[in-house]
Amino acid sequence: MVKNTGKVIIRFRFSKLKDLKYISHLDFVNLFIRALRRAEIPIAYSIGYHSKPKLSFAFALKVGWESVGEYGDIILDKYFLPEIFIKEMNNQLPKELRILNVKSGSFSKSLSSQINYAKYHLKLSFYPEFKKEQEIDSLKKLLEGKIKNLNNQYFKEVKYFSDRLVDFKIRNIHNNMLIFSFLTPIGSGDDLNLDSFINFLHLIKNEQKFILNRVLRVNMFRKEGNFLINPFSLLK
Amino acid sequence: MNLKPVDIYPLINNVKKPSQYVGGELNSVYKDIEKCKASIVLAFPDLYEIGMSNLAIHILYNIINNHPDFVAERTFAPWLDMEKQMRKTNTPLFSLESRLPVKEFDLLGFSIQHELCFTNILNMLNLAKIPLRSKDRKDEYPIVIAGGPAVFNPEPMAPFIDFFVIGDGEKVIIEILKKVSELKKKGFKKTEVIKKISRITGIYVPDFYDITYEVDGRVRQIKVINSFPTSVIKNIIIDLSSYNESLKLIVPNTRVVHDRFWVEIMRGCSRGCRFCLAGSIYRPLRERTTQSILNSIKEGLKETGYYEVSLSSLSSTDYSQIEYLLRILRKNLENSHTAISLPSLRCDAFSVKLANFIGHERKTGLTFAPEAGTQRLRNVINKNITDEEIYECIRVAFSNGWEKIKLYFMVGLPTEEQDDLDGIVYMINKILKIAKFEVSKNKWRRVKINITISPFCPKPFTPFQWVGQDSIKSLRKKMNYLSSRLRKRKVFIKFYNIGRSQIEAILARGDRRISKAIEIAWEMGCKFDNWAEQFSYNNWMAAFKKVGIDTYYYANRNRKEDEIFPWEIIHNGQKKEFLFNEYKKALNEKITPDCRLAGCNNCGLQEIIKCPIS
Repeated sequence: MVKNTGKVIIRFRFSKLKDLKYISHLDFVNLFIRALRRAEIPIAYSIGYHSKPKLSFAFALKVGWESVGEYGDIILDKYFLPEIFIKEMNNQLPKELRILNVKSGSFSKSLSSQINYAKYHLKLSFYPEFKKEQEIDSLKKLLEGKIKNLNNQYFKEVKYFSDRLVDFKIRNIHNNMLIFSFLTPIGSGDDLNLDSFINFLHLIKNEQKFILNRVLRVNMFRKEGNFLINPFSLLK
Repeated sequence: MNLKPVDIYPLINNVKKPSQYVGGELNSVYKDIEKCKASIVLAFPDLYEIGMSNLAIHILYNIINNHPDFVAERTFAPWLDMEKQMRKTNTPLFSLESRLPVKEFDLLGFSIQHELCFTNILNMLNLAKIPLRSKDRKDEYPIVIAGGPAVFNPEPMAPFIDFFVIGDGEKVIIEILKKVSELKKKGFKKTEVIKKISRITGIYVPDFYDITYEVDGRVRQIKVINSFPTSVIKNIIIDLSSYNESLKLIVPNTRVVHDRFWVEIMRGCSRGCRFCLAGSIYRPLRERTTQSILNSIKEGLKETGYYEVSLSSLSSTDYSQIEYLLRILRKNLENSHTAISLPSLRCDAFSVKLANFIGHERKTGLTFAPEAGTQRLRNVINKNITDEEIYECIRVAFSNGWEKIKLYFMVGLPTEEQDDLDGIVYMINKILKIAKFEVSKNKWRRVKINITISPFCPKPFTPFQWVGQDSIKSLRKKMNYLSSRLRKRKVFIKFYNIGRSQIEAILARGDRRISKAIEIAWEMGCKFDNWAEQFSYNNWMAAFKKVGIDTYYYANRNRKEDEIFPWEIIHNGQKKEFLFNEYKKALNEKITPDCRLAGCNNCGLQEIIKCPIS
């Protein structure tokens, strides 16, 4: 089961949900390191004065956001069966943090240099509720940049957001609850600033108030042209 | 009883560090309180990140939750932004584990580490919707209790606390819970429960004592009502190992001040520094066996995953087996990427050699507390280290690659003169010379001498409990003098706030008459007084003025030998005569050697317990 074959990378996908969304990224890294140690995973450490475990994550998740599509890389001293890694780690991690999938490899560039897109779901509640389906439809068109004779006041903002909201969909759960689903660049300087997006929604939806109930990062990818490549496929 | 947890989610979306209110940490325990025979909320009157760094909370939490009949949960002072949300939504103070209002528990137990958290206690009671004063709390409210180092003078908080637990809490907390569950079952009223509990060793119930005062304000008499104890002897656990070996530390999900695995190796100190409250109240000195410590660390690191272990005590290098312990520990932890931390170092070369031995991977800094700048003044305070020892310690530190040294001094010590202030300046200059000699040129730019200078604050149960604190004017003058003389490259000075120290001095040796001022200070917005940005000297002074409290009387007045102190109802073990004798020796610059090395000093402890040293 355990073979000494030199440098081994385990790439894992994990979720961070519910109460754990309140933990900052730095605190989360500490929590993860402690779990690795309790699980007795043979982590490799950097050398030097202040040796650290060779562990990295793709992109920090903002406090208050949840995710089912986070990725991390860990370099091990010895080969470790991926299935055992999932089992041992999930035994040590809080239930709101689950390792979902794992792949081992021997070479990879850093996650943050490979991943350039993320998919999000935003869940919003609107008050008062939408009276007609057409109102939801026109909101969608606005955000997709499809409304031609738009008030100049919003033109730049709409262009900014619609350039960054790829494959934008609105799903209507109830008359007052919508889920926005979209892909957006990440880590490139072209990132969508979700806070600005929410502020913009407040601006254009002034006849209704809304509450952002949930931000969920669904997954992360490398987008090349029209293709979305899963981070596991990037591990050699 | 249909207990409903508080919905915290609407509150924590817009606060700093929301994770501190959420709980769910590794090794935290959830039990259904309705199925338990007695329940307690352990309340720490400061932020989560401070409280979770306090070992006492973990120890009591473990002991109580390991008992099948009882449950302990935790609560901490919410920060200002969270408090605002709580008040806006009428949300009561809640426990972390079940998120139930703390009012629903049988007991609410505060751990009071220092006087500057008194207002936080009142704030937490108010947030919990519990009446502040004991006399106003009927049976539907929990019994409010308090323990910790600052309750050795319980009087300033006497009207707010139903009873105090004096001394070590490990054994007595279970006795208290057993009594509560037994009497609850029989339907006893709260006052009866407290009466029965008062018979347990170490329990002080302020209601059973009446204090009268002379015209000049001094205590005339402490009168005991009925047949309650005339003296409350503190609890002492002799065998630390039996309580703490299987301690499961709760591992916070968020960064706390001391984010590491703590193991208590020793409790108490026999050095006898005359200003030190901890050295007095934690006597006698007791050590855990090395095997017990090693077992704790082995199991503890496995349970928690921490990568730093800290050996905790008042003076870790005084542990009798310290070299042996560190040798075994270093061997056991080899290749495990676990750092060993040895805080509370004595200012001697031996300590530095130990610090070096444990191989700090990155030698960032060492901290020492010479406290005074001259041998004469160190003799007065019985800090038994010589100038030569200090300089040798510093030399060894720099020559072994340490780059930053932190030094603590006090000003305003009894008998202090100008020469003593110049002694601090001389010492720092000498330390700089040593550093220049020992540190290589390429490392010189990283050398830093950090100095913290604090006003001396006399504490109860110390030989200096008779001494008045130096005046604000005098302290300010001294600090300004040191600031001007120590303005040098490589030297960085921090001064502890004089106003805050004065408030601490008033509260530390206050009596029940102070309690109204504490309440008014809280009403005026005082809380988190130990946080520089929150402390309001003006509000405190206004509160004292409103109640007619003479601050000079409490802080600056020298007491006479025969004065009755408000805290005398508590029996700490050391005789008052011994402490006064120490005070006289201080004035004559005479030292008292460490009783562990030079034999028993007859402090009085041996009359109440079989002292491990005598």
